[in-house]
Amino acid sequence: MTVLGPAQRSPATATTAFLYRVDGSASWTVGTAHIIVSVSGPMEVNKRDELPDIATLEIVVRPDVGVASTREQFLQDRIRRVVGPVIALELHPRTLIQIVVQIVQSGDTKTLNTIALSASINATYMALLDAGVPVRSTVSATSIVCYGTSSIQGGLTTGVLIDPTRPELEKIEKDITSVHTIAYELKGGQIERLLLSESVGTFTEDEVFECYDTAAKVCEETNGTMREAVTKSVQQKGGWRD
Amino acid sequence: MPRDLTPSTIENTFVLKALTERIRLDSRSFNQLRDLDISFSSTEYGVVDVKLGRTRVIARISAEITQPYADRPYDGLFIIATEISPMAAPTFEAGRKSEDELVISRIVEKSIRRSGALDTESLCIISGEKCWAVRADVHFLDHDGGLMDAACIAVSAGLLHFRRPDITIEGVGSRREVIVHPITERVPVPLAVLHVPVCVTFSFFDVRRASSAISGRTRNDEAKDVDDDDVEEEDDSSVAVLVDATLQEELLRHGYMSVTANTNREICQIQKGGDMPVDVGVLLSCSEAAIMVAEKVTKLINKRLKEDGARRNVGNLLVEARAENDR
Repeated sequence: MTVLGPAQRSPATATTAFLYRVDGSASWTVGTAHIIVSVSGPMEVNKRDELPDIATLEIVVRPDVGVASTREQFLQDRIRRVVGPVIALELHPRTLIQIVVQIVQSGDTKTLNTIALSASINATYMALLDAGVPVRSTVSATSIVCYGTSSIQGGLTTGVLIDPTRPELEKIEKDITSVHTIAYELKGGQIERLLLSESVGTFTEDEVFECYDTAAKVCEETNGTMREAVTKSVQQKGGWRD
Repeated sequence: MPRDLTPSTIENTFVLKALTERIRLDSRSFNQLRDLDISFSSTEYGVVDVKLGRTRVIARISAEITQPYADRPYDGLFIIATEISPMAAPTFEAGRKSEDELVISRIVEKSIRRSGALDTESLCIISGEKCWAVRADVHFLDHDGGLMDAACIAVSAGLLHFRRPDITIEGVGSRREVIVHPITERVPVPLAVLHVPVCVTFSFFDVRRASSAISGRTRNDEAKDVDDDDVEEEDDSSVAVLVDATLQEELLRHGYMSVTANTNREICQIQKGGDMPVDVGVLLSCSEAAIMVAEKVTKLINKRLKEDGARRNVGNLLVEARAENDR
């Protein structure tokens, strides 16, 4: 069953371990979005932020232009909801795990807030792996943009863009019907459960379920990209023998 | 948030001893810059990635239309934001300005904004009503010393690389309207950059104090020696002057001086810090050295800009289609 039109997807690239002063770093590029994330910890925590039984998780999102606003607060909250349950915080009580998400190019248009979120989640997860922070499972996220253009004949052509670039978004901006940011938890390369479903716009139940299915496929592919990047960085570090 | 890193005494004496033998730990000579790499974003204008050794800074220039200040109706706005996040080093706290950060933002401000690198009058659209507000956001990604030097190079290169959308003014009198032409419609316009300031930081080490500390003698013994000699020898070897210090050298230095210069052989700004007094001669030689570095860095910026321009300007369309006159 296909409710939505044909899907088009831009590829993602990842690099890790390029910053020296922090414990882990990753950069995630998809479409026109570019996110750099650093992770430090477990380390000393401020007395007032200290938690007796688990590690404190601090997430700082920094915008590409200007000072942090409600948009960054929103991103921070969603990233926390996705990666928070995955990190084994209870293994390092009374410490701090600090995540800094630097948006270099957000890839979103002014009204949307989806590509930056899904790319940030992927980059954050890669940085956590590079920092050696214990995690329970794999996470990957994707953005799905559904649009419908009515032609002169009165027919409706619909389509789906997965992780689109900014020029692509700008071209269909007026015709966007709904935007979905979806994050899955994966184990052994297979999707396990849904961690985040952030949808804006009008859509039917069938449509959103189809988006979940599409996202599941994309997230499994993304997981492969992550695996490649991690393998590469481990090989570069020299701790890997074929 | 962990406390700031403090080098151990062993590290301190080791570095200083090496310096008395004119050796730096990374085998550079005293007046040698670390490897400098400048790259521009392939998709957007005004995004620069500067790598100075392990120090890495990304600057992003953006522009929007706003109202000018009431007391300066002919001037546009130019803001440089230099906030350091914990990404540069976990010792920086998010949302709180440390003293280092204050010094860095002041030096960058003095070097670029107050030296008039960007002609703010050219940003005026309709006097007293509309002007461009140019914003430079500096993101510090990795801190291994020389943050201000890297930030200054990044902002200077960014201003040269940035293009703002072309505009036209329609109508007369109070019914004037500004039409902004998107980059896809009209060839965007470069900013009026008057000169390219480059900041160079010199670190001073009191080698004499260091050598006495190493040999275990107190400062009083040293003073006695000087009295015995009657004439104090103030040769160059008593002060080691290092260009582009790494973080370790920055933490151990006795004093520093930041000099901003350009290729017109103008000194835009000098800031002297630390508790070590230096001779006029040292100041002059540092200024001369800063000019040399500025020339070298500007050459590299221009080379990279040319490469980027060639990559974007496929088929010479950008030159053919532009509406701007050559200066």
